[in-house]
Amino acid sequence: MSIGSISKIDRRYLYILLFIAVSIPLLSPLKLPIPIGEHAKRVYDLTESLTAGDIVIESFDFGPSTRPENYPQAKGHLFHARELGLKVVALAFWPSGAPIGEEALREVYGADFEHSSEYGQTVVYLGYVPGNEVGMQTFGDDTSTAKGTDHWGTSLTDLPLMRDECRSAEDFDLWAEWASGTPGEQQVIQFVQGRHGGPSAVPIVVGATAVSVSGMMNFYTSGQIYGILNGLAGAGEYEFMLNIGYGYPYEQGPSLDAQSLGHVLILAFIVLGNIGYLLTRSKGGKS
Amino acid sequence: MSLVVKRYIPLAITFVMGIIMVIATYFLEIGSPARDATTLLTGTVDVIVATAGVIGLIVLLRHHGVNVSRRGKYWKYSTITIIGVITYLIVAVYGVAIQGRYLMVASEPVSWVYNQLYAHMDATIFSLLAFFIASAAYRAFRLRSLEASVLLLVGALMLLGRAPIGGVMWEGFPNIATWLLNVPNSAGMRAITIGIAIGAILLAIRQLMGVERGYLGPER
Repeated sequence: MSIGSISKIDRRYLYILLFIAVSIPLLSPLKLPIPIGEHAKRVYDLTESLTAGDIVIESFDFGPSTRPENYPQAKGHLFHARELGLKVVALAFWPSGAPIGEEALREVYGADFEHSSEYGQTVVYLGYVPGNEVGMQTFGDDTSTAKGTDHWGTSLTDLPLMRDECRSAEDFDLWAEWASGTPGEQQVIQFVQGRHGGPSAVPIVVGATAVSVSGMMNFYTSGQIYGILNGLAGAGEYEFMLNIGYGYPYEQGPSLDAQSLGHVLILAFIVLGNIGYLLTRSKGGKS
Repeated sequence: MSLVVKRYIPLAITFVMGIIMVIATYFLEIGSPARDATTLLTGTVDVIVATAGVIGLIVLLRHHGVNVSRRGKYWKYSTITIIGVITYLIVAVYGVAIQGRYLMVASEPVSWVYNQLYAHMDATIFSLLAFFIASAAYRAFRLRSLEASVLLLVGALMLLGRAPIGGVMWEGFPNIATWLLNVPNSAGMRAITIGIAIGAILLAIRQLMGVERGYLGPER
């Protein structure tokens, strides 16, 4: 094996190594401790600061591709909202997010929640709201204009929460945006928060894929986004805080262990590639 | 079609609608009747989206149908696309027919296709990214120059700081990753966002004034 070959390892070997590294902790978790970051802590603290009866919008704006990151974030927050007695209005501005939102609500509120006594009083599911950012704007201006019925076709006038309490963004106490693209957090800031009194009137917390968080940090530092659940790690941090506070099951441990080993392996690849590159260059060869 | 219908009427509609929305956004009180009227106007987007969906379906089927009939480039994939679209359409209509649900998205046959096919395929394609990123990192992150070295260092710190193992190695890694996100990254993203916003405003003004006509299609 020549020196130059260190920087030219067949990618298929890298794929196999990554597959093994990710699989091991999923089968046998390492149980690494999880540090709680400020971004997730702020989401938790803001939700805790709300009082029973406050209205939270839970917007499922993601598809199956980012489900491993977004779903545990949203489910944990829904659980938190229910424990605190908050009133939840869930919806999706992505068509592919609508079935996921329904599933999360069934897990937290019960399999038949749309027929329960609390449906329409403390929780409502609107399902898919069309129109992308225009749909968001319309929903913020007048919820009944954006969509006249819930996910199952029941008129909003028959649901007391929507008819009497959640009429426009002036009534929202928190917007929880579970996002992985457009429309997402930027559109909520632009078309709902910006039009209805700013961050103090409509505070926003976001759960996003790790790859997209860097693009929203300027909104976080400016205060337009109050807190962020950053990818799978953010979901794990939130679950861990809920576990301490409410006994919520901490399920992301094995996934985060897999992510840890994956990251370390990628670092090892980078180091290996650079060793090969530097050795080749020191011998005057081409890389 | 005359120039009036193809050009001047769409330009007039764009101008009038744009001005109405600008006035509503910046000058009308929230809750005032005039502003409520504009909310009703934005609500009509649903109708436009639904119409565009039907037109999109027709255009898609025609485009791929022509490709298949001519045995054009990747015609086999076009065949799969047509079969997929028509099958899903039949399933959706069937779902509404047997369940009488208000929304197709809530019917069981559509949910089955979504959960058993679409969800798995979408997740599979996205998860392949992990392998491509690992391979790309191995090949691309090289100490070729000062800029590349800084990129490599920051990338390594983020990899360690955003996974629990980083905190196990050294408790400073998560703090460094948070600082990198909050300060240098935020500054760069803010500059980009403000630049994009100014560009978008200028583009909007050009469209309202009828200077930018690209959205109307090519002029012949």
